Parts: sequence; C-alpha cells; structure tokens
Amino acid sequence: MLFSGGFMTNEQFLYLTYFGATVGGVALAACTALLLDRSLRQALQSGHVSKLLGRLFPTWLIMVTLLGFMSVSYMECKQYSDVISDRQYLIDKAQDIVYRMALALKIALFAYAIVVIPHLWSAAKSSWSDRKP
Amino acid sequence: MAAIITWLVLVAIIIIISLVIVCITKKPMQQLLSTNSYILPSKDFYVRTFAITIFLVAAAGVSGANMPGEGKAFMEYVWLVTNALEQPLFYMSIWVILYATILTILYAVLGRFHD
Repeated sequence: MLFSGGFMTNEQFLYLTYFGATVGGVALAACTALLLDRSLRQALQSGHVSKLLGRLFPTWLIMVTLLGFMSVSYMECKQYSDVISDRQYLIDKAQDIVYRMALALKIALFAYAIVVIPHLWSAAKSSWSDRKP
Repeated sequence: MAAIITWLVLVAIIIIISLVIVCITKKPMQQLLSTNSYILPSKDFYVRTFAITIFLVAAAGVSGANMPGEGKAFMEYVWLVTNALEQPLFYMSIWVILYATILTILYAVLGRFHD
C-alpha cells in the first residue's frame, strides 16, 4: 500500500524515503561502530593509537556512509515535477540509496581494517624482540 | 530568502562537521604524539596541520557552493545542500583516514621506543 500510491502522495513518499534513509544509514553506521568497538579496542590493545583510532572509527563510518547516501542524484536531466510524478522512479532511487550506503559502509570497514595493520605489525614485532634471549 | 537560509544551513553543517572532527581527534592525537621525546617536538605541527586542513576543506566547500535560486521546491534546496556537502565531506574523510594512517605508521616506527 505504501508503494502503490494510495496511502500518500509522491512528494510525501519522497520525504519519507529520503530522510528515512538518511537516519537509517547513520543509525546503521553507528550500530556497526558500537558492535565493533570492543573488538577493535581488543585488537589495538591499550595505548594512544587505540584511543585515536577508537575515537575516529564511528566518525569515519558515519562520514563514508553519508557519502554513499549523497552520491545518489534524483535530478539527472529531470525537472522536479518529473521526479515527483513517477512513483517507480522514487522507489528505484530509494533502493539505490540503501545499496550505496551499504556499499560505502563495507568499503569504510575494509579501509579501517587496513589502517590498523601497521599498529598490529609494530605490536607483534616488539613482542618478538621481547621474547628473544 | 530561501536561498540565503539554504546557504546558511550549508555553512552551519560544514562548520559543525569540521569542529566535531577536530574536537574528536585533537586530544588523542596530542597524547599519541607525546609518547616519547623523538616525536614530541612535532606534536603542535601535526595537530595544527590537521585542524587547518580540515577548516580549509570546509572553507573550500562553502566558497565552491552555488547560491541557489528562489522559488524552488523544498527538496530541491535539500539536494543543493547535499550536493554542496558531498565534495568537502569526501576530502575530509580522505584526509582523516590518511592522517590516521600516517600517525599509526609514525607510532609503529617510533612510538614503541619509550623514554
């Protein structure tokens, strides 16, 4: 019923999907950061790098997710009246927003996993040198 | 009037984002760079460079944004703001992750030599 057009006008549907996707994307990034917070701190152990990377982690995830959201354009060679008149176009764009935010979040997580590597390498190296007789 | 409000909203959002990033990173960055005497003298330089670059990216984003015309629909103003925010946010996120990587490598190389 929500997608058929009888429940609300196309403009209301656009507001709902656009702002709903924004809030949903930020919430998804924040939940991911919250879920991974403890394991990230465990991986980094204690120390100043842990503090810096731990604080940057949620900000980085939210920023990149928002970038994925912002990369979707509704006005591709179209007038606003054309955008509003086509419900299927609005549905497609809403799906595109969700897809791009999920993709951006995945890339952000992968990039952060790479950033952590030098610290792990350093910790492992100092641990090996401590074990040497 | 709507065009000016849109532009002011854009400026406010960019300033808030850059302030949040600088406030979040300033203290742990200072602590990280104070770990030993090798990298302690570079503390102020790195922290200030980071903050200045973030604010320059924000200023570039504000000055590069087109002033919207009057008489548009509400969502057209919203899209103007998001379009104008996209590029500065992209450069800020690249700068943040690049700086985190540089500091992690710096700490990995020098930070473990405690005084």
